[in-house]
Amino acid sequence: MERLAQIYWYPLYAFARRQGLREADAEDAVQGFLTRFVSGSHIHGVDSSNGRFRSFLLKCFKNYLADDREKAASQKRGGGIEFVPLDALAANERYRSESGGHGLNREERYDLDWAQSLVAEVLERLRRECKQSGKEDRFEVLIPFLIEDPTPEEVTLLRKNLALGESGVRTALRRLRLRFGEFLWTEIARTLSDVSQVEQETRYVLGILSKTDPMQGS
Amino acid sequence: MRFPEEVSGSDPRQDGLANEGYAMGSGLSAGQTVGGDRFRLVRLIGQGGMGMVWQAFDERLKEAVALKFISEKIRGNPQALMALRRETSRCHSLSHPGIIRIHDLQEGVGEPAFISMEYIQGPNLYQLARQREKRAFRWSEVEGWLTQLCSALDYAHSRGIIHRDLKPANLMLNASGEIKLADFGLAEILKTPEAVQERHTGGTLAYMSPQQLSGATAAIADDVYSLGACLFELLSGSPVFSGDDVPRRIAFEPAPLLPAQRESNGITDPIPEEVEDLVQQCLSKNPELRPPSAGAILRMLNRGKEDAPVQSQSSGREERTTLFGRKNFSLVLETIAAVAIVTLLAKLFLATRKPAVQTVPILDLKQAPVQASSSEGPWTPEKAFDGVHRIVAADTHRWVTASVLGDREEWIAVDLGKDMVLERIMVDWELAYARDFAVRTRTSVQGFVPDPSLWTRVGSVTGFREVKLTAVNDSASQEDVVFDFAAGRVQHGQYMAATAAEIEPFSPIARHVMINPTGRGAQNHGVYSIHEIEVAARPLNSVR
Repeated sequence: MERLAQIYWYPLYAFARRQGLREADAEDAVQGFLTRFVSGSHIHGVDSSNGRFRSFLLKCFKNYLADDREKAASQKRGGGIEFVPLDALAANERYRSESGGHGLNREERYDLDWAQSLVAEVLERLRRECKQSGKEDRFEVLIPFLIEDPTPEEVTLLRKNLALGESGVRTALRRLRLRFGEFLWTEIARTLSDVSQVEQETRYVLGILSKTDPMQGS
Repeated sequence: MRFPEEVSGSDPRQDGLANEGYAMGSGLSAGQTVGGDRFRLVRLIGQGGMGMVWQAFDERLKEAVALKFISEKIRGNPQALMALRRETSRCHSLSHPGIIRIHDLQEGVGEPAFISMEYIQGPNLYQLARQREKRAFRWSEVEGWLTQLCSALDYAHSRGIIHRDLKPANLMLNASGEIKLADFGLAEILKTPEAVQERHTGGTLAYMSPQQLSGATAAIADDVYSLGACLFELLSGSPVFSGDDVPRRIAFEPAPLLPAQRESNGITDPIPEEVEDLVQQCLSKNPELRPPSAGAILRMLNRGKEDAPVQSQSSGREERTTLFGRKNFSLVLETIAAVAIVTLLAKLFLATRKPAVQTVPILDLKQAPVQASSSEGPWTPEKAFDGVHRIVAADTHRWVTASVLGDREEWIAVDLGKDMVLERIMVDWELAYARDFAVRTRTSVQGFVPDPSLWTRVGSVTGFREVKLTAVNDSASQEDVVFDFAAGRVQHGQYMAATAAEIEPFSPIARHVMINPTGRGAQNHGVYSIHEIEVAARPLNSVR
């Protein structure tokens, strides 16, 4: 359940904000919804959403916003389950600072937020694994080159920083990329009812991530 | 290499059938003849995925053979039986020293049906591993087997036959210590519910790819995955996944890292790094990321280079290792903005991390020496940063501007969003992430450094002891420029100067910077990763 919150809390929160809810109301809505979702009393009239959990979750959330927000909020305040230890301030800051994704409708924007949260979670899992194997410093140094190859000058300095030869640097980078791919694959597989769709879903994740503007920030 | 006599006995994980339901096997006994009296049963040697396996003597060819009896459940299924006949015919055509030869499918009237095949006197690798203290083998032992195995697989794949049941128990060793692959192609045809159940209870799940588990069409990539799973176990002593929820873990968990598993099992003999990489690659969830064929695996090992394009006997495809595989994924990456993703990933990741240090204002802007040093009017942050390029702060996820105020005698880094002066941000940044932090000097060094005392003050303010730039000068040639703040010196190429006045003006554009923070020693370059730092200084032509 902690993983559920880690990945989906912000996309749901941002969706609620875009629906016009204020900060506190959106926080309450997400808290209340996820509490009910965990308890199982969330599903009514929602189809399988093509086997995609993110879509299924959003549909449930929309229903919740439409029908149950008031009731669930009072339940939460009345001493319901403490669910999500998420930094609401960080979520607010992220929402205020978000940019890009222009031309996307609300559902697509939700998908974008989900994809970003997913990749962030994958990176964190990768970092933890590297730390467990005593290679966190290597992770820190190589992560900027996860997709784009280093220039020859950058390879030279990576060699110094990692105390490796050139082939060692390239091997380390290749291993990091392969492992990232594995974590991304399994993370996406968890969100699908049919694992044969992982490849297609991964393409979708990459495609929607490309719709952000990297040159804007807070 | 000599091996002990064939190890008898069965293991539920490898041989796995309950006896009930296979009455035909239990009706056999040593000395009995089958196949029209051609074959005389010698002894029961195991229970396979389809039924019992007997050693027998072929009275016609005067040699030992193995007879794999077909269970009644399968024989009673016309569809399965037809497929068995077809596949047996195909496998009969396989002629390779690494593949146990299939002779014939016998279906005598009133007799049990069976497949006759080459008899191998020797253990399988599962049995052999059980004799080892840690159930693992040295790479020197496995290497030869792997070569033979890949040769056999590549040969069969080139003829369109997928094994789909690779596991250590199907890897036999003959009297010469050579690998012989058993049950080739026969598992594929067994799609009856009974056969599927047999394989599941037989413990072969642990070697199945996620795609095979999900029932996808058989592919070479499935055998490659299973090969990786076999290698993992042979080298570590443990299966990739074990426990009650193996199918879920195969689908949703990355395979453990081989070095970690070996260490956990106390196995210390070294194996080549490329072998470790090979195993992990074979175990990729994404079939696109696995080696494309067994032949390609052989060539990888021989070359030690996984990224060179190769041709495989079986697939004819090129190998390229990209982040998400060959074919469709590499195409996807080519068609989208990779730079956007790099920056996004960095920002996403960095946004989840806390700043390495707290930034502390070192200078109240109001106390900064504000000098109207030009006709441009009073100094303001905006003017001071004329021409300054934006920089992403590695640990704050904010835009930060840094500037050397050549005529203001201070280094000041200002958060444009909050007008807060930040100190030591460069020193305490984990510079590996500051890829957008670029330094561009647009005026002369003379403009930077009116006198040596400035440098020491710059050093104390910024926390830099020394900054070294690899700069491109006006002549487009690269030069090193070292700003030694502690000593109050600037070294330009081979030219050492105490004051900037002694250095001819130039406009270097720095591309690479190594930061040597205070206290770490003047000689200790390269502490942090390379990055590009870009600052601008006010042109001073109008000042002096």
